[in-house]
Amino acid sequence: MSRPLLDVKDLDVRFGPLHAVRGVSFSVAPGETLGVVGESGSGKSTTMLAVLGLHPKRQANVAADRLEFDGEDLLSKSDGQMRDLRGRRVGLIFQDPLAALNPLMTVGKQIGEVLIRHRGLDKQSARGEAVKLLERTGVPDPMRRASQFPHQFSGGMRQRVMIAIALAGRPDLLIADEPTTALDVTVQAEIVRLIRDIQQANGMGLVWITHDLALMARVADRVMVMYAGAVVEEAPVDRLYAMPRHPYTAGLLGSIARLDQPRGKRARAIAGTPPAMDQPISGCAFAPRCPVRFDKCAAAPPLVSLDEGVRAACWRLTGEQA
Amino acid sequence: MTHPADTALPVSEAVALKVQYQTRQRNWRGQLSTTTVRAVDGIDLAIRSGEAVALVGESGCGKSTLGRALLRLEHVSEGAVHFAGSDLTGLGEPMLRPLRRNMQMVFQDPFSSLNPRMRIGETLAEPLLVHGLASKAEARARVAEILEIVGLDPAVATRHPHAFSGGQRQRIAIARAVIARPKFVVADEPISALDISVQAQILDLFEDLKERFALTYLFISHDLAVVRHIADRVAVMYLGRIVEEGSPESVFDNPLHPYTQALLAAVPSPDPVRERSRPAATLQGEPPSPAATISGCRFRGRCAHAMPICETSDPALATGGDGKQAVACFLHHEQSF
Repeated sequence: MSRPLLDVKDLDVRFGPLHAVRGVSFSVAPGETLGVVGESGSGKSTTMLAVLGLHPKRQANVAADRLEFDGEDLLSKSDGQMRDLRGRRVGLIFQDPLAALNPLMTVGKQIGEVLIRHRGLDKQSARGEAVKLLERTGVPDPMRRASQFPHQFSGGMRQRVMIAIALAGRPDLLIADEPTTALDVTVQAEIVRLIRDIQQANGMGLVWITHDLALMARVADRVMVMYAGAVVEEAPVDRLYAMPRHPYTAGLLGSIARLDQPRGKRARAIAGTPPAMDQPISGCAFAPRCPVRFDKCAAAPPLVSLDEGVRAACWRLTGEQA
Repeated sequence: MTHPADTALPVSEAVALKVQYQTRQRNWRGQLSTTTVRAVDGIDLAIRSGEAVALVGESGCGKSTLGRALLRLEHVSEGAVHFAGSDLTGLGEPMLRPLRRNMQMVFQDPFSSLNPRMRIGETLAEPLLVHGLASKAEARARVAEILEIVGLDPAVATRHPHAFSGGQRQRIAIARAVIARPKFVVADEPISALDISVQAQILDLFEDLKERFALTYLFISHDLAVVRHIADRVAVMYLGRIVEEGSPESVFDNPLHPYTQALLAAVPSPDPVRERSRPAATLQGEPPSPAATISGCRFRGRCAHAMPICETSDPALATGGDGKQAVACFLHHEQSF
């Protein structure tokens, strides 16, 4: 395998007393889709924002043993260098396109801005290229739409505009943070197909963050499950769904309502709630909710490799059971 | 309604219901234009005692407006709304207020639906005290009882909402809705703001309350997978109209309306192998604006089976398939006529 596009080892993010990300390690290869699943507060977005250098330095304390993009160390880069990287080599799509777009600027101008800044185009050709990008992301009537403002677009169309902006710099890595959560299922299906088609055409790396395990099955090659700021399991997508190893992953998969199961086979809830992140966590963070906890769980389990690309952090899996 | 002994008498009923809004806009020349948004555009729906009816549809289809109109939280433009035999259509708020204890609502966002300055105990006791259903001492006992029923420690009555997680707050909001033993509850996306592992807990609670109090409720959701497991009957809405209605088995296993079929086909399944072999989505584009004037079938612009008749006539909701479900589509009308 070639060098990973993104390589992160032991990432920690703290906001004062709040320890949001606790020793997260992962990598993304070119052309690959890494899915990141977790509930709210699990640190999935915080991790990716830290990778992109988007946490304000005054508030967040970001530390890592290694944080490399295409072999370059990101921690030592200046804010300006990071800005260049974000517009050009790394694209970003957020959940709420209305909040991410400038309401006072036409959509064409906003896409053009990226082209002028990061690809050095002049105003004229930036405009033409912006229309081309809108067309490529499936916005009908792109010429007319380019001169419209974000409020004139529906939610699904706005997300296409966001994708056009993210692709404007021809990124090698695209980070999509819940890009379809605010959309209806039918529109979601179209956006998913669009992003996957573009990825296959460009061979870019893709990190897809979502709390929706059903959607994850559609988009990811490899899935990383996060709980309370740490990775609890990582596996190729087929293996994760066929044989979840960590009790939290198994619980999550069991708790989703499914259309393809007989009625009456009810989803089972995981009892309890995730821990507060401003408190120190002793031992396994999931233990208070875990149906198979035992005395060993008073100590934090390490994330260990089990087999072919499967990692999990659970004492039940290390063969050291009481 | 003159037969109070009839057990099949609907608890809540919409009859040819329309809810419309006028929006006024000035264009850049200052000219005033009025558009009519038809949020609910002719709906008949009867919810019988003890029944859990699920209302599904995409954002903007009018499902929340319908739910609110059944409780008369919206004005009625045309048609009628009945509740337990009485006609609510023309009633003003003073006349509605005594009826409100019997019809309650649970909202999507438990972070905005609870008063942050009131203790949980005060919030829960309020419906009882407002409607004069209990003395202060009795209310305290009822609060402790309902907290236990929804799975919270009665001691939390002295705390404020900020001390609780989203799932716990939604339990409190549900407790407030059912404490006065209402006849009918509308739950508008009650689990969409919650984490997955907590969603199933709240669904369990709804099931439990339905059994315990013989609760009748309308469950509004965009999530078809969730609805399938809790509903006795499912209604699918598109652009202000119910396009298909029936038991979960018939609607989910044998959807007749092309919109229901497309909607179901778009729901992802947590199974990577199945997802890889999934056919490409059949539904293109987006629903037209509810302010647009549409002739004929409102779905025809996105429908793969549109026929000439769909341009000229608006299909009514009629029994289709094997008689177990109702569908508003000409493809299925010929069979039953």
